[in-house]
Amino acid sequence: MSPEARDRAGPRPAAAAAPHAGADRWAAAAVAARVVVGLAFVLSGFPKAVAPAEEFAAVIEAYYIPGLTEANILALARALPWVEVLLGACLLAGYRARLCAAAALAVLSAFLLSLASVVLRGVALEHCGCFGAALSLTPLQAILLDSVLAAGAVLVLRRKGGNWSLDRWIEAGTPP
Amino acid sequence: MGPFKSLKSQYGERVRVVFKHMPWGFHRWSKSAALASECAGRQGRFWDLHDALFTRQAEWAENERAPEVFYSIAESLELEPKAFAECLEDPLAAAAVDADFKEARQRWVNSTPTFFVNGRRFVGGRQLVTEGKREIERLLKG
Repeated sequence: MSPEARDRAGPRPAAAAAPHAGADRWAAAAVAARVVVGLAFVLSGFPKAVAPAEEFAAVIEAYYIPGLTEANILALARALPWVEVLLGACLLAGYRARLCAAAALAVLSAFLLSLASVVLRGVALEHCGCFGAALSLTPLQAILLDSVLAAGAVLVLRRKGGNWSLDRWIEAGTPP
Repeated sequence: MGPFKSLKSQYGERVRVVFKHMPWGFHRWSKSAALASECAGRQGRFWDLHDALFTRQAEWAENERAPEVFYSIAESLELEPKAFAECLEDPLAAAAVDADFKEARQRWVNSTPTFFVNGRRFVGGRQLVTEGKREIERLLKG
């Protein structure tokens, strides 16, 4: 539309502009959520991944999850931190963001179930062990944090990775 | 320390136990307690004072006058009081505790208790009595 034609058409009605602004806000929120969830996953996974697996295994043992044997616990302690790092890196980069957000949501749901189970069973757990030795959170604080992160993962799942993501770059064929 | 003690009594002289101090900074008196046990060790009573400190932890952990409790425990164990008091002021005893702490950090020890069976790590009593015991059995058979 030329500037003259725009002048003749007059100002855009507010109702027409509002949905666009709302979509922009959701897109920005999706980017923020992707970065926050990704960062949280990297920061929680990395200290555990580089520490001896037996350390994290001891944390998992403290949850007294029925059915988990010593061998399973050690295998889980070895794998889970790297899964967190991988998912976090994918979310930060915005690569296969929806898939990674779905996986992150599944991991967060498992964390939330474990934490809720600990609280309900009255297991004496001083700290959740979520961030290894880097940060200490009580089970209730961890439930709150994981719930916020889960909401963020849902947002990414619904809105994709948004701008500034590898997905968008790959789709467009040009850098963001 | 229960699982550790039961393994120690089960294997007796067949295993050699080396204790290393890991006084966490967030426990106000942990370093002083480690030093007290180190000093009891100089009189050959390390484990006695160590066990008493754990049993009576509630009396000193948050107590402003924890050193008095340490002296009282030492007295109840009939440690030689002058030597015990001098040792608590001895920089070499403090350096021994610091050296253990430094070594633990170098070995990525982030939890207490952490056990090493011929270099293999077991964190917490549960790992020690399951995987750790299997490792000890394997080593003793080999």
